[in-house]
Amino acid sequence: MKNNDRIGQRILLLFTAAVFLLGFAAPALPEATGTIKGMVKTPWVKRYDALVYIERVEGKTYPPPKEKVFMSQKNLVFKPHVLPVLKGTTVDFTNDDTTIHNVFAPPGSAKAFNLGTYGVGVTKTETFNALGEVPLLCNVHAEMAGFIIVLQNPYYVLTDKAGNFEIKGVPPGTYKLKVWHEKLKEVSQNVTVEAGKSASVEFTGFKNR
Amino acid sequence: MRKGVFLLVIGFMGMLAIATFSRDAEAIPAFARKYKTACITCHATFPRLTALGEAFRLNGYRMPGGDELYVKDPPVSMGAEAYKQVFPNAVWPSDIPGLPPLALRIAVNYTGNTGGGDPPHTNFSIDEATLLGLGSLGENMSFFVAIEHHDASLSSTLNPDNTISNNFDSGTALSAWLMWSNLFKNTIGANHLNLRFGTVGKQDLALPNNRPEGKITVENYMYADELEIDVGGNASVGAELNGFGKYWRYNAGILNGDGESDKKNYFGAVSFKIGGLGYDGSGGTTAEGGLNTTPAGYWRDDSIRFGGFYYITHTGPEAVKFERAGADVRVSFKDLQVAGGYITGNNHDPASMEKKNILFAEAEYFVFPWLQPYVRYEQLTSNVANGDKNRFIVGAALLARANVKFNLEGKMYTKNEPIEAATGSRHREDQVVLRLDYAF
Repeated sequence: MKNNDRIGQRILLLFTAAVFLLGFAAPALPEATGTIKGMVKTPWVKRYDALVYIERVEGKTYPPPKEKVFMSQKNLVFKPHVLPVLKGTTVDFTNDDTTIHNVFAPPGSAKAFNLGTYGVGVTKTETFNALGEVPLLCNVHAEMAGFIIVLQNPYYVLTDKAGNFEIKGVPPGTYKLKVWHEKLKEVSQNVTVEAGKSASVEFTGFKNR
Repeated sequence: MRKGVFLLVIGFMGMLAIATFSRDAEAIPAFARKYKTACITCHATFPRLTALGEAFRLNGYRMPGGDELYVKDPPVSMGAEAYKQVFPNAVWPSDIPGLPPLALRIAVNYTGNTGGGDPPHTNFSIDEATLLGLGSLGENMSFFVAIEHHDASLSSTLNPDNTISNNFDSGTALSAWLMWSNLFKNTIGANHLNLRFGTVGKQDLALPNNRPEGKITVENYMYADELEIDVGGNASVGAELNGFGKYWRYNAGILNGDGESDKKNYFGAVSFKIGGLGYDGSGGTTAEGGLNTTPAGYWRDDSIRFGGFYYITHTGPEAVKFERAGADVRVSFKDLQVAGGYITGNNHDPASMEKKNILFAEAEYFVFPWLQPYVRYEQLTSNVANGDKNRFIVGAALLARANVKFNLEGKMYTKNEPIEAATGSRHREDQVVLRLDYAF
């Protein structure tokens, strides 16, 4: 009898250990997420992109991407005109043009810097570790302008020319959703996202900077 | 036979193509090109401005409420916006017009003079050929340049001693000014203080709501001619402060004198508005991108405007004073506009001590957007013998196209036409004129 009890206990112990180990080895179920959809209602979006983004997701950190991020200078224009990036991202500034260029961000920017003047085909890099707006200028071609917007999380999107936007894969929660536009003052709204659902937001009442 | 039919078909198709092209193609002056919009956006009937056109003009030739939204011809950037953050280590950013901001205006008159003891006669003349260059430079600067040529024409002045002085008014005049808008904007508000310098006396020196530049008639306002207000040239060069809010505006300036003394000339005017689109482009009944417009009829702006002005000049080495002061009103109600004004001029020249008082009333009505009859009555009372003048001006403006206008107008004096003392004949100032006026 005593032997049977010991065997039974060992079997139970092994079974419990197996279940416990399998629990670690089994793949994690995907976290349920929601979507934020809406519209930025201003005629300015026809001329310049608007960026819609969640200001902050508490309790989470988002590492910068391992892939390279590029800001090109071609035809005397920064491309893309607006580049949103995660904090800590390193951007390659490539001179894809047929003339020399310079890239600098003026005082008051989230990151003021100056890459100096460099020639055709040269690439210089800069890492952006502070949140906020970084206007880009060229001191050889004063009319050139671009923007890098440094963000805390990956939940952002540029609107289309009609002002529509959709941000997918947002964790459930309540957030401050903001709109950035180079001609307009920022506006914000609180939005609550539920798993498997789409939250609708409309932004109006913009004022010129 | 087949060849004849073929040519007929080709000819018809050609005419159809020309008619279609002509219907769609609108000759367009400087701002029409910049905004890809027709003249009637700002003019009713050109050169008179609509309420939106007036707001555009006061705002330094920019659309109020967000000019960049409406520009179709992008300006050439003289520096990106962010260079403001670099200043003073960089030149303040701005822009210049893309296309050359030029326009040409031509007016041709066919005039018939009647009355008096001499036989009536008719005359063709190129009354006006003006090359205009005007626009904005960035956010806060605007400019105006005009080279204006008038054909030789005779005007006569009755002197206090009953002699006639005949003047040939012809030649070319240059006007130019630069305006810097929004001085101390963050402290006192947008457009409350603007600075203009150049020939500032050429355009805005007048009764504020009945300026010669905005007349619908061919004939100039009697008060402007008789009281030597719209003289142009070097006498109109100076500096002006102006400003406006939603329903008020002012301007005050200093001008060159005639150079024979150190004394300068001074002017000031204020104007107020009740109802309608604001001077700053706000108000109205329809919102579109921040710009509010009235919905029915681009010329409509139900409102009352009233104001006054004062102007003093100093003439000759003794700097003899000549003062003018007046008040006016303009009422717009649907398709009807009526206006009136009273202005008095007091010339302190010891030789004449002439005082002139001028009263006028006018009315215009939009029968159709392209047809506008009008009538004006002007009465001059002078303390000089035979100096009184009363006249009616009756006519109609007809827009063949948005930028092509015909005026058929008659001018008739009802009192004391100047008499040529030597011959005893009356001066031929009763007149009928057919005018073709176009701009592109």
